[in-house]
Amino acid sequence: MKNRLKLVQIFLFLGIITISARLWYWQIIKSDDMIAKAESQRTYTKTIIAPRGNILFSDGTLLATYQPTYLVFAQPKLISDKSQAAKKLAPIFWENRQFKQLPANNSETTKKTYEEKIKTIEQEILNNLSKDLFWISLERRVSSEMKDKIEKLNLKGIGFDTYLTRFYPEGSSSAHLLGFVGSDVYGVDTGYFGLEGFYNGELKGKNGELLQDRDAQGLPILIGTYKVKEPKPGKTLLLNIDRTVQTIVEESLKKGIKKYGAEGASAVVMDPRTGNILGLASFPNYDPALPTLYLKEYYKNAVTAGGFEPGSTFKILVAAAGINEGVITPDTICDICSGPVNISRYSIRTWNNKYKKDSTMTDVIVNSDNTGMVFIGRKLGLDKLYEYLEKFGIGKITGVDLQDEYSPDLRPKNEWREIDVATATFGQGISVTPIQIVKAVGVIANGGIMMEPHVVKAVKDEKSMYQVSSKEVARPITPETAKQVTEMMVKAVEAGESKFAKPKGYKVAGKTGTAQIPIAGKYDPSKTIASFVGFAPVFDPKFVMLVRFDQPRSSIYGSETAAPTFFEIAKELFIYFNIPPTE
Amino acid sequence: MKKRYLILITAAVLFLGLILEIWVMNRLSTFGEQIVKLERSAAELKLENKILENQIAEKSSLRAVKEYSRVLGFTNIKNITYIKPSEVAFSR
Repeated sequence: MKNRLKLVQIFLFLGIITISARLWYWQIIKSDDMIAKAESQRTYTKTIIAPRGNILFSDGTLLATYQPTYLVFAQPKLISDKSQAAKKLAPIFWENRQFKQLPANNSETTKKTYEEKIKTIEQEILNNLSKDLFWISLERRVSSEMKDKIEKLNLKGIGFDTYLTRFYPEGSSSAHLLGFVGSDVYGVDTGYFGLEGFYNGELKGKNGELLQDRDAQGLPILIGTYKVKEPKPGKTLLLNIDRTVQTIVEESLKKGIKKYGAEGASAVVMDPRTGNILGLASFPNYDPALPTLYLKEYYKNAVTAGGFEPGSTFKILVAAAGINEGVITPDTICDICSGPVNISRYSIRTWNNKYKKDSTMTDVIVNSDNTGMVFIGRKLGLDKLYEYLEKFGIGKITGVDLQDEYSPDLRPKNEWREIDVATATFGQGISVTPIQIVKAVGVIANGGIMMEPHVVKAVKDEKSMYQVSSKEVARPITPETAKQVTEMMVKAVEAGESKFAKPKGYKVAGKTGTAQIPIAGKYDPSKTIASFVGFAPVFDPKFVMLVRFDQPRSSIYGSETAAPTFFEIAKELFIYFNIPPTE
Repeated sequence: MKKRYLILITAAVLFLGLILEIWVMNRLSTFGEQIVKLERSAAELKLENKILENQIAEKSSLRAVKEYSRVLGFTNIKNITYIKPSEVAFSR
């Protein structure tokens, strides 16, 4: 009996020792781990997404904003009739995938295609629901309308996660201006191209964080930890872009592409006094909400990154250089304009092979005479010509606040031969972007003062507003030179090849350009880039504009394609800006 | 006697304080669900507000205005007559 009691005592003692050791292990040795585990079970952390900043037109209307978008998920284990759920969800998912409504044309083929698509989606949903998972994503980018429709189905085990995406009230308008928002390598929303890329830092905002104690059911414990770091929404960009001007430009370009059978078109409208970009469009474009559905080549903004040989539009800059240097006046007689000019093995001709002896410099611009330009080039010489090209910003980016700006290089001066000087005077063998030409021609419109082009007027948040002020960058020519060149440009419009399209009663300064496209070291005479650059009203310019068509088929000339479109836009701008005729 | 009385009062106050704390804790612990509901409805209202804001923007976009005006039979202005100040007769 005594022995048995002792045995029980030993067992009890060992039991106490074991329990104490175990308690010591959990409460002393593993104490930190246990505290951390308890906290992780209790503490709930959530990132509060900062909405991306808005982009507004100059009148304050929305061009780009954010919208709540939903991810539809399923908890397959809670769904009893999976095939029924798939059948009900499929038409809504189909509708969500950009096919907004049933095709109006109810032909058998269309119907079949629709039914086939629905069947495919149904099968896709069913496959997902059949997986042995607790949670599975079914559909992304679901709009609030579609979410409402799904909710009305009252399906058990179907839920939604909310996230924010970009929303464009004007549709695919201004795609190249805006750029788009995509995910970076870490899956974070990032702006690419255009304004979204250039102002990504301002637009993206700063995410907030919520730290809260929650109970076993996931409900907040009010007396527990509650720390919230409010998100900082992205800043708002107020643009100089006028939505009416933008719409006029876009509509006219679309019409022009159709009418002239062009591969592409672009235009930019700038206020020469301030450098404010009022409208900018480029085609073919893409839908900024769904950029991945388009070819990557479409992302490039032809206005800021599309280098091209400007052709005759460049003549006005060379003429301005000549007048400013005093080597010519508008009345200087060209003594080499009676026939083709031969330079080494090359022969330089006029565009129509017609020559006019004793042409004045104004005639040279009016008739777009290449030989007359060679005359100015010789008078200027390489050093002065090169100096003025640099002064006009050729070979340098303009500084416009759009991410993808690119400038074609200006060849080093020591690589220029006599023929290069000659061809450069009429815009061949030299490459520029439309925005560079507009900035340079803006100098003539603005009395010799060069302004930096900019798209954004102000950057603002809830507390402050930063105004982007106009920036003068250079004064390449005198006001007197600007005036003389303006008069030459007015004559070029009134007596040149494009006079038929000029709006009656208005004085417009302008110049056409037709440049052949260099392909494999040769110029293809049937493929051209047709352009027209000009400004109006002449004595108090409200806009300087360039219109460019790529490879127009109805006519290869700028005077028959780009010029009519320029004047069509100008006519609408006169009405919009309340500019009465002066003649 | 006075000391004993003081101890009794202190103990009673502490006891009542404890009861009050338990009662408050109990009340608050059930508020979590309500808070979640309120937070959710605030977030939903915010989103709904944004959706409505976007719908207004979409319906007043030039794209939409152009469509409405086309349906209503509006056309582009073709001829505009500008009146010069000298052509206007002023009267008092």
